[in-house]
Amino acid sequence: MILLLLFQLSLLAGDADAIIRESRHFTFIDAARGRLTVKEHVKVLNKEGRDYGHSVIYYNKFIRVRNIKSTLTDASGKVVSTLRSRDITDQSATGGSNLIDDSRVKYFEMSHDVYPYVVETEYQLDFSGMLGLPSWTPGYSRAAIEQASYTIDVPSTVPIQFAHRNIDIEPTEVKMGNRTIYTWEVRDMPVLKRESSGPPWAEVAPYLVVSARDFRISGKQGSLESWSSLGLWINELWKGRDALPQAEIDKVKALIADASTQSEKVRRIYSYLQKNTRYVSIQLGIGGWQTEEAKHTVSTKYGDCKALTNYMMAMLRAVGIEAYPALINLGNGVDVMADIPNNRFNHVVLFVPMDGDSLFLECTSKDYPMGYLGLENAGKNSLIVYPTGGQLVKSPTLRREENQQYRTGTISLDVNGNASASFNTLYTGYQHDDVRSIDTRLTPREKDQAVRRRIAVPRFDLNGFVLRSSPDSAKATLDLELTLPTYANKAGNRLIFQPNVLEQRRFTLNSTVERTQPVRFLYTYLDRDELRFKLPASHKIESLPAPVEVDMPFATFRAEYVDDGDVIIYRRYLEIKEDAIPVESYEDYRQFVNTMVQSDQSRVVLIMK
Amino acid sequence: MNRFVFITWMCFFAGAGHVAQAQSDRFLFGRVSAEDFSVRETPLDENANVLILMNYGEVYLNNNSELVYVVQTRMRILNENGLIEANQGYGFNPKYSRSRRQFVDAHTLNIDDNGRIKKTRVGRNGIFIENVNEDHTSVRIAFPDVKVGSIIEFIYSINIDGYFRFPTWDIQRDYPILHSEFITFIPNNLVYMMVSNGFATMEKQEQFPYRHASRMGIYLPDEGGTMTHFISKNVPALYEEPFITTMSDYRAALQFQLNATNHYYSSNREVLSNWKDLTTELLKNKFFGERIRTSPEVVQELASIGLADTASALDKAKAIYSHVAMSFNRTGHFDYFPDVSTSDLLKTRSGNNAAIAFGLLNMLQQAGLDAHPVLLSQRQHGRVVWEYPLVSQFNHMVVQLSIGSQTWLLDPVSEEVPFGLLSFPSLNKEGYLVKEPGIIRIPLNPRQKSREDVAANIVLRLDGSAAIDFEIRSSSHAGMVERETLSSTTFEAYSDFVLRHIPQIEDISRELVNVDNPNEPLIHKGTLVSKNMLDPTGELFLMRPSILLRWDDNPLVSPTRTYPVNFGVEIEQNILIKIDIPSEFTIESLPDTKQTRVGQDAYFQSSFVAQGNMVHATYRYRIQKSEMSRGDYSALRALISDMVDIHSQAIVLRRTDS
Repeated sequence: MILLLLFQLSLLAGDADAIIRESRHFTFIDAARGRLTVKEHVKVLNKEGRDYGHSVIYYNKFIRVRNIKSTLTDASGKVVSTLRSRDITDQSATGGSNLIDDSRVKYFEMSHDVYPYVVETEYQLDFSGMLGLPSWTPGYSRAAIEQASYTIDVPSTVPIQFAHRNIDIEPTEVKMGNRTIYTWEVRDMPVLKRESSGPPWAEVAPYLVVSARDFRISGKQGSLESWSSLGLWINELWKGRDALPQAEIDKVKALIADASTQSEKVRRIYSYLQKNTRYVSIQLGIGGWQTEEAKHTVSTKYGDCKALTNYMMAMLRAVGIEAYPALINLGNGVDVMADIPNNRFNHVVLFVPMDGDSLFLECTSKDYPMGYLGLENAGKNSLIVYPTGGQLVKSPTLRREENQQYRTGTISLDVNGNASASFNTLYTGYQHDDVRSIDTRLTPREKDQAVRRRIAVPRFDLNGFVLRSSPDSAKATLDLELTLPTYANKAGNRLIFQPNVLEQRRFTLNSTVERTQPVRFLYTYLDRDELRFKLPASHKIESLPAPVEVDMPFATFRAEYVDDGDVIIYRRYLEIKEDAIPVESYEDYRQFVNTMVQSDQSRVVLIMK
Repeated sequence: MNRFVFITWMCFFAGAGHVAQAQSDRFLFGRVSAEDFSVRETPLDENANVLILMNYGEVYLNNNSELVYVVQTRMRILNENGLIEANQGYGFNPKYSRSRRQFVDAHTLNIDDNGRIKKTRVGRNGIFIENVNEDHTSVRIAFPDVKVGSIIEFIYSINIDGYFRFPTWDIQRDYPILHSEFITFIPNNLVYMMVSNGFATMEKQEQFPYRHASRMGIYLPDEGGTMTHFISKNVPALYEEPFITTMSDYRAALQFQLNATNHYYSSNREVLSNWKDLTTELLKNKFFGERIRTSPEVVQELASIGLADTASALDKAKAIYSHVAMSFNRTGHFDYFPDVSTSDLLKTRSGNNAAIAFGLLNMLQQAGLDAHPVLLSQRQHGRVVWEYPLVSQFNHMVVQLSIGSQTWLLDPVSEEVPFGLLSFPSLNKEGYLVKEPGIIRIPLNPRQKSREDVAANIVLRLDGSAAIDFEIRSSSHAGMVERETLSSTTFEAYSDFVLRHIPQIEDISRELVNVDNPNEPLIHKGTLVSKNMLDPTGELFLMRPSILLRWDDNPLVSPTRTYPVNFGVEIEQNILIKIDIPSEFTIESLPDTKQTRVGQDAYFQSSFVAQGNMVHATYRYRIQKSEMSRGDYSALRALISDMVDIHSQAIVLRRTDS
């Protein structure tokens, strides 16, 4: 009998630390109200699976958590513990850069020390304001799903739209009286593994997004019938909040009085915004979507992305330049699904139509050059909010030619292998972000440490450095003056050194684990190095590494060594052409990396004359 | 006495009835002068984004028997990066303190176009109060109209129930402070003891009798008392450094503890006792001493382990420890008191660190072994001020086991911690043995060094590939670290990372031994083929022998150091590599032997010996003191650089048959 009660660990378990059954049932009451009932049955198989028995329930001003119940039973079916209200921690979930917001979380841990055990949990979330229906992500990195379902129960008169990503799934549709019940179900879903240099979770995890046509929050009625209607709703929320005090209008007009082009006008106003405001995130209630009034931002000189974007928009409009908010989903690897209108945006930038290339402005940055959006806003679905409605467009992204690192250097070696070196490196595009941050956001002490961390040489003295970041373009430079004690290793009457000083890749990729996911880069790029080594008069070249050239569809690598008398010139070229390398090409990629690492570690041998 | 700590007893007697006039008027709230705006930088620190012109604190007792803590801070924004500090805040525990919105005031001060000082008050919509959780309420202030050169200033008060939770005054903060001032108004019937922590110099420390008022103009009870006035000037910012216990050990601060009460209606009462009395109290305490006892559940749990009657005391102790370390769900909360009794722990299988330590203690005692509780403050919790006999200074409990003349400290915080070894966070100088009568303070030194022994045989082949067998033994704390790493990843990923310096691995066969037995060294061993061990360069071939050295970067980045370097443990690494070179090659040259020392406390050496076509490479690394002084920092940094530099060494070979 006990054996019968023990868990039947099916093949599904595989690498899983837990096996999950869950159901989510959402009852649509009206455009503002609904109830989500969640029931979870988690078999925790081992210590690593314990987290799946814990619950984290997020809520906010528009969501009330009710009727939380949880019970833990052991393998024999005996109840070991039952959740008590004092076991539940309730706390703020204000996080990241927010000064304050409405997010809160309830969490509790149901655990046992004898495996396996089962945690059964249920709770309800009552919604009193909605901008869309709850989404569903049935997939876990260390747990398998035996069975999971998501049900939406809506009046038959309420049309819904849905779209899915990373899973091919269609709902069953049942009419019951005047309501329609849609059910999506998955069964026997194995663990979703994470692999090194693999795609971000959002590109792997199953995701279902569902929208009802109408929504209402804080009494503001809107429609998700189309991207245009969503844009109209945002526009309505923002309408009339771009008025500026006359003194501020006068100031802006004076600022651009002698500017001859529209681009120059925008640049000056953007620079004024950057210089005179700071980013402070306050997201309370409808304030999560509605901007602060521009005149308020003028007086406080701070604001969140909405307030600063609105202020910038107000200044541009005050001098007759068109500009519109553009909603976006900030973050690497996450984007809003374009398939159906939905509101999964978490950020806003400003769109400025121009005669030539139109501009997107990141108004929360104090140091970006005009038109530079940074990597986390790049290539994203962005909803431009026109007074006539919203339009979904892709935000711009930089090409690999624009993401460069170009380094030149001179290294003088002495008879003992010591070296003095100077390097000049130009960074552009997304490659310049870190250097700009170091230059503009750190104290002298922090800059010194950050620069030292970029120097991948075991022993060096940093004699000086100069950082510069361009105010007008996505470029930054770093000049270094170094002493490199015993850079060349002495081995008898030889000196041995690695000509690749600063751009070292040390670790090869082994074929010990089967690859199942593509390799992903955040962006494509180009690196070039040209270093000149002045040899000591006492030594001559005994041997140089052979040149290397590998050209693959996804990347190119070259290294060459030129004997120029008492100087060796080392040139290195790396071009990453694709930001994703499919699994089928992984072996090629592995060989490519290994060849590059071997080349990067190649050494020159000098011998005493 | 600890070199960072001095003690001042503040015994307050009836005063002569003065009104305290603590501070110059220029520090009154909002009384900012043009001189304040002229301060552009501080000679203290060229790195500062913000300069705190003045930080003032005051504590007095009101008629509701509350400690009232008033803080006023005035700071100047020196550059663009300092604007982030234009959001300020503070917090309190709502269970025993309150801060009302009307007692928060804040403003921004600027010089306007006419050279006048312009004040912009923070309105109600710029002050945000958030109940973070039941133990913490946060107040955040967003200052308006702030630009480079602005002065921001805020004042708040917190009312704290009773006399016991006297606020700590941080003299030092993350930014330099020109003027730090703290005033205490202590009535005659209370006696507090003060400890000063850190390095700041006290420019002024004076006492006066008082009758009625504080600087803030709030009338105090008529009983009278003593005002104590502390001033420090030009206090440098506190900067974090790696390899440290916790920065709070070094932050300049004044800490207070109530020592005695002296009410007219009752006899004098000592509040702060001595360690001996504290031990007696603790052992009688319902939630501590009374929980050191057996129960049917303890007997049953012990029986489930199946100790053999013939087992030695040490074997019994090891079996009980292993059982406890492997069992129970840990809540993750650290405290010196158990959150549940041992009976409840054994029923629910869940408890905090102290509950599990009590479970171990009770089982050991039930088995007839001599075991006692030891309280300690973990590294991140800060050092213990032994001058305060206060149990609240501790946040963790371990068990002292004695068999014959030998003692062990048992720390069952996870299954990775071996018998007789403390977990890394527990390695914080001294612990408090709760046993009477006896020695109170016991050292928390690790019983063994953190040790790693690596051996590898490399058989080079003519085509440049090599067959390699390797064995890595990680003992004591090194074993703990490896097991913890393994618990969060797969063995393959872990092994790949350990072997990351070996180029192009193929045909690998590897295993882990003793992974579930922390009392034995963790052994990671195997065989593999490296497809490309030789780097051809012209007619020569280079081979890098450092393939199993794991130091990739020097973590001691900064060329200077303010605080000691604390490793927590002594460290020993021995790496022996044997390289068998085919006879078709001759050895042209070997890397020079190197040795770097830091006095007698640390060394690293690498040596290479050829015997025919066999090369023996040896690397030895020792840190022989768990904490090294700042004076040793440069030498230590150079030593680690030498270790990292080993990866650039090469054996030079020449092919003789071509």
